[in-house]
Parts: sequence; structure tokens; C-alpha cells
Amino acid sequence: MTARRPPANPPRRGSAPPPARRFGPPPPPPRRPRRPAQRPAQRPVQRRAVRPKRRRHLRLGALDGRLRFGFAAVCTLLLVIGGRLVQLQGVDQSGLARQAAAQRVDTITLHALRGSILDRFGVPLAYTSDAQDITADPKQVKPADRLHYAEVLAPLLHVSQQSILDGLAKPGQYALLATALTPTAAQQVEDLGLAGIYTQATTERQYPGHTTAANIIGTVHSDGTGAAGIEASLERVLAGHDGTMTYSVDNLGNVNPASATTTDPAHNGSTVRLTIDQNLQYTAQRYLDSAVAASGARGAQMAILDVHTGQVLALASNGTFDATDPNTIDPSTPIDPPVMSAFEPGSVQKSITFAAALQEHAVTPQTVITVPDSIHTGGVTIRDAWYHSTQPFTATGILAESSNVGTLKIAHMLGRRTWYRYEKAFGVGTKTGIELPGESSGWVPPLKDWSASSFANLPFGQGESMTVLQLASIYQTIANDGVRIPPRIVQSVTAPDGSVNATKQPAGIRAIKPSTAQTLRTMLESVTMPGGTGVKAAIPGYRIAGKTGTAQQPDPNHGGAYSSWMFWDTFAGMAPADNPQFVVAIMVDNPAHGVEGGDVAAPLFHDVASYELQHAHIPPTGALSKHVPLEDCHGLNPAYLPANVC
Amino acid sequence: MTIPKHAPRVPFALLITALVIGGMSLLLMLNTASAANEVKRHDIAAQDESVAAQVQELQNEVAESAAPQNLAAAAAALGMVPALNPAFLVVASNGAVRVLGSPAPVTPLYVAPPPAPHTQAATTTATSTATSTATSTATSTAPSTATASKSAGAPNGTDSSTESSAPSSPTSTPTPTVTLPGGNR
Repeated sequence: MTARRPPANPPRRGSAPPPARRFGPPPPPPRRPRRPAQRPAQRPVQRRAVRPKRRRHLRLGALDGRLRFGFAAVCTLLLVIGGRLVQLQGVDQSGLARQAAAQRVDTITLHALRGSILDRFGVPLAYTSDAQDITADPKQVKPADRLHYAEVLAPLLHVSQQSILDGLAKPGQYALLATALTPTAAQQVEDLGLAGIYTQATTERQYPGHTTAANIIGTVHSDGTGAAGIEASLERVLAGHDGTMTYSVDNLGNVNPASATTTDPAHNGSTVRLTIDQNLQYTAQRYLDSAVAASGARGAQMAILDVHTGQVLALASNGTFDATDPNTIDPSTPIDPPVMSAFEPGSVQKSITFAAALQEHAVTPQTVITVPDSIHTGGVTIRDAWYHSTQPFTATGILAESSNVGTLKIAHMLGRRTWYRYEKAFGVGTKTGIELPGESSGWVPPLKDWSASSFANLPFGQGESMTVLQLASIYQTIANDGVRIPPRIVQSVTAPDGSVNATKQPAGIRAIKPSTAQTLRTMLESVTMPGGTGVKAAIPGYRIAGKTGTAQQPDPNHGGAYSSWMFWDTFAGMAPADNPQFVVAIMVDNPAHGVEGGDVAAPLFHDVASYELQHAHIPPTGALSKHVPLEDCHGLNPAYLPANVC
Repeated sequence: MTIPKHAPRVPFALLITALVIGGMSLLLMLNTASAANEVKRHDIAAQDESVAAQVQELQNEVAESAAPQNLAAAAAALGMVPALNPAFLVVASNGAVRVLGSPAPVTPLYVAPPPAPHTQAATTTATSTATSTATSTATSTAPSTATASKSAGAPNGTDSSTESSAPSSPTSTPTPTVTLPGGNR
């Protein structure tokens, strides 16, 4: 019985054992069948309950061989992964980290807003505003649609249909169709919903005055950096500097709202406040333009200074370009003639000679000097501008009627060294140091370079040159009781945080004594009074001091000899003479009509000064000019002499 | 490791499930809220931008129309003319008025200077004294040749008689006189 073998098909667990075995030894554990193939033969009902256990047993049975194999496979994989990990984390780490950051972080530039330029009252002369460029992706526009696009867009963009067609026909994926549209116009374009047409934010420099003060402000390049004038000379102050903003993005470039953005804020440019008065500047330019048109002159310039501070109130020339349109710049003329181009001043410069003579006590206003029509000195013959017999002029008369001979006689009383010292004291031949690019220093020959004839020319303003700004500065000195304050045009710079940095005012330089300046002013009044050369500058009710000038121009067609028909007509004066508030210097370059400074430049002074007196609310002082005889009328019958001479 | 056979599995599983579902829905709600806020922010930012652009545009318009050339054109269109000779009124405490300066009516010559060239008629509006004396000045100084010789060798001006441009009569604008060599005056 013991050797009895189990039946070939062992009974399944749970099945009823055969009754014959009830008293025998326990049967051996049933063997697990080797092959599942044997199973289908018997699939009894109870299979469902037992199945899980049997399956586990099946897997366990495969351990020894497969485990090793699996272990090796996993180890290999881990080694590969681990190795790659070491490679990524250890070897290439920084580069990969950068690449990863670049993929999920985007950095954009925050553009600094360029500072504004204001006039002395805070009126904006130049400022930057937002604008939109219109661009196209020509690839997205079907050739058949181009005409339609051009028709729809041309009126909105204010460009020709052809230029839009040209832009759309461009190869590549970018074409600039229009620049600096107003946001409203750009919105209209967007509302059209044209495929392939995009807007791009940009900024536009605005110059509401267009030509007004454009010579001072200058203009900007298309990239927004300063190109000329204050825009260029104060570029660093105005520009500010750009900042950046960094934020995380998804794979489509959308900003992750929850991501922390790091920002390096942009620092906007500072606001520059100039000393000029926009209205006065406009008036000056307008009068210069019409004077040039009326007189057929080549050009005209003007400088207006505040007497007490030396600040520039206006600095104008004719034909100023439009700051919003750099194409209007004439490359053949300087951007800013009032500081860039120098001319020979002529008689207007006699004031320096007279200032020196008064201060050195060589003359008084009443000193009588016998003045012939011509004088031979330094190897040349100098004549007066008009014929007269030898006459006993007073010093005032010599100035009022602008006698060259009389002026030379006075200069020779002083001597060249003394004269030259005063010339330098008034700043002739040195730059004023104004904050504008390209200033000309003018020129006066150094004493050691003088030829024999130099001193026959210089005392009445030939053979030397100056800018109209320097000319104004000379008269500012006379008006300011002898203290010359080098002119400045930048009043203050305001940082974006609101802190104001006022321009340091240059120290005044005393050129002549106050009493000398006062005496000279009364003498200069006689120029605008009847009998003087500058009567057309007179403003009824006011006392006006000034001086005319008519300088001969060198004629390039005659080897640089002085021309007899080409002149610089000048006038410089101040108002009111008894309490000067502002100084005007004017130069008209070679007028075709009107020979003398008293004909063209003096009326200009009258017009501009009249405007400024009203504009700045400067009432007449009510005082009357002191009459000083122009000639020694002793022994003459005044009835036969022109009015006001005696 | 074996899980105790009789651990209360169902409540535990329910707890975990509830936690996961609750956490997920909370996360979803936060995400939705955040996205919704972002959309709202975007809308407001766009609105802000468009309002700012509008303000900017209006400011540009104001600056443009306040620019002197446009003010002058607008004034000229209204028939306004620049006053020439300034005059001021001083009102005393007793109401008496004193006139400072010499006001004179503006002639149409001065209307709208931007297009109209400014002529030499400066003395037109001057007082009669100025005009008459200017005339006398002209007679005293004009009738001779005006030549000036310069050391630089300028040729003497031709001896043509000079008529230094005479002051205008109060009624007519003078045509510019023949230009002849002047000199330093």
C-alpha cells in the first residue's frame, strides 16, 4: 500500500478523495504539473477560486535563471542612466542649465523713455510719445490679395498704394509698411484683421514747434539717438538707459502668470529745460524769414539774451529746418548758424572801441574831434561811408553817425595794446562755452600777428569775426553795467525722480566799469535817435540803445579783397536803454535791397524788440533820452543844420 | 513586505482617494482662478494701454495746436494782427489812467506776417516826429557818394550818387532803393 503510486491524474485539492484511501498514510503532496498543457484536460468547476495561488507558484518557479538575467539588464540600464546623469549633471551642467533656462525664461528689453526738452516756461519743445509701426509678413499675404491690401491700407497708413505693394512683394518675412502711426490709426489697422499685417510698438520724437527752435534742439536719428543740437550734445542726459525684464514662459512663449519676474527697471532720461522762450524764438524766426525774403539776403541770424543772467532767450536764423523731418536739413548750411558761423561785425563793434576810450578817459561823450572824410594810416586810406567835409564831431556824433575816421582817431589815442585788452575783455575771439555743438570761436588776430594795416581796420570791426551770439554777448556786457556773463542755454536738468539740477551759472567777467557802461548806453541811444544811423530801430515811448553795422564781405571772385557790394548788415541793441532787460543782435547776410545795417537789421530790431517788450511786460520807464550834440555847432547857425545835430 | 491581512483597507483607500481628489480639485480651482485673473489682468492692461494711448494722442494734439506757428495761424485766421509799438496803461489809485508808450494803429501791412513778407515800412506806424526827423536825417547824410576803402585793398566804390534808402512815407511802402556801395556804418 505504501508503494502505491498516486494516480496519474492527481486529484485536485478540494475534490473528494477516493474513499479507498481513508485508512492509509496521508498521500504525498500533489505534484505541480510541469506543463500547463496538461491542464486543459481537466478544468473542473472549482478552478476560479484557486487560480491566483497557482499563478504565483508558476512565476516563482522561474526565478533562478530569469532573475539573474533581469538583474543584469536592470543594472545595465541603471548604469547607462547613471552615466548619462553624471554626464549631464557633472560635465555639461552649466551649459545645459543655460539652455534650459533660455527655453523657459524670456528676457525683454525695457526701453528707457527719452527725456523731454522744455523751454524756459516749461512748454515742451521736444518729447517722446508712443507710436506703432505697421509691418507685414509678405509670405502670409497671397499675391492675389496684395492689391486689396494696398487699397485698404494706403489711406490708413498715409502712404501710397505702390509702396504697400512694393513692401508686400518683398522676399522674406518682414516688410516695414509705415512708421510711427498714432495708436488710434494703428488700432484701425488692427481692426481690419488682415492676415500677415502686424503692429509693432515703437516711440516717436515729437517736435510740436516743427521749425521753431529746431536749430537749437536739433533732431534725432531714426534709432532715437541725438543727431544734432541739444539732442546730440546732451544725449547722455536725455537718453537714460534701458532695463530688462525676465519672466518664465511655456513652450509657446506665453508668460506664466505665476512665475516670478525679475526686473531691472529702465531709467528714463532726464528732462532738459532750456532758457529760450518758444514764442520769442518763433517770432524771431518769422521776422528773419520775412526780412530775408523782402531784402533778398542770403541769410539772417539773431540772438536775444537776458541782460542780467546772460541766458539765451532766442537764437534764430532764417530757413530753419523742420525737426520732425530731417530731410529738410540743408546740408550746405550749418545746422545752427547763430553759433556756428562767424562774420565780420563791422561798425557794430565800434562800441568796444568807445567803451575802451571812455574807461581810459580818452574821450567823453562831448569831446570834440575834428574828423576829415578820410585818413591815411598803416599804409592804407580809410574813408567814411559817406562824404563829408572836415567837421568837428563830438564823440557821440562819431558813434551815432558811425564815422570810421573818427573811430580810428579815438582808437589811436588808446594805442593798440589797450584796445586789444578791451577786445579780449569783451570775449571777442573766444568761444562763449554755450552748451551747443559746433560753436565757432570767431577770430581776432593776436597782437603779435598784426600787420601795419591791422589797427586801421580792427577798431571798426573789419579784419576780425564773431558769431551773432558773441555780438549779443558784447552788448549784454554793456547792458549789464560792464559785467559779461557768458551766455548759457540750458537752464536745468530734471532727473526722472524729480530732482532738479540747475545749470551752474558762469561767473561774470567785468569788462568795464558800471559808469562807463552807463555813459556808453546814453551814447548808443543817439544812434537810434534822429541824426543817428539806426533810427529805424527806435520804438516810440522807449529809450533804445544800439548800434548799426555794415561790414564789407571778402569777395572770393576778387581774390578775397573786400567787396563793394556784398555786406554783412548788423544791428545790436538793448531795450529799454535806461534799464536794460534784453539784448538783441542781428546779422543780415548780403541783402540785395537795403545797403546798410540801419536799413535792414535796424527795422528787424524794432519789430522783435517791440514784440518782446509786450510779451515780457516791460513798460517804458517814462524817462527821456538825454540829448547830446552830434557836432560842435559853435559859431554855426543851427537853422542850417539838420535837426538834432546840435 | 506584507500588508496586514486584516487592515481596514476600504476606509483607507477612500481617505486617500478623497485626499487626492480634493487636492486635485483645489489645485484646479487655484489654477483656474489664477488663469482667470491673468485674463482679467490682460484685459485691464490692454484697456489701460489704449486709454494711455488716447491720452498721449490728445496731449500730442494739444501740444501741436499750442505750438506758436499754429497759434499764429489761428490768430491770423481770426483777423488778428501783431501789435507793433507797445503801450501800457498805468491806473492810479484814484482811477486816473496814464498811457506809457506811444500806441499806434497797426497797418494792414503787418497782417499775418508768416506769409506776407515784412517790408521796410517800420516807420509807417512810427510817430510823426520819428518820420519827419528821419527824413531830415536822410537829407543831411544821404546826398553824397558812399564809399569806403579798406586796407585789404577793396576798390573804392564807384562814385554813383547814393540815395540811402529814404524813410518811407507814411502812406506808401517804399520800393528798395538801388543798392550801392555803402561802407561801415
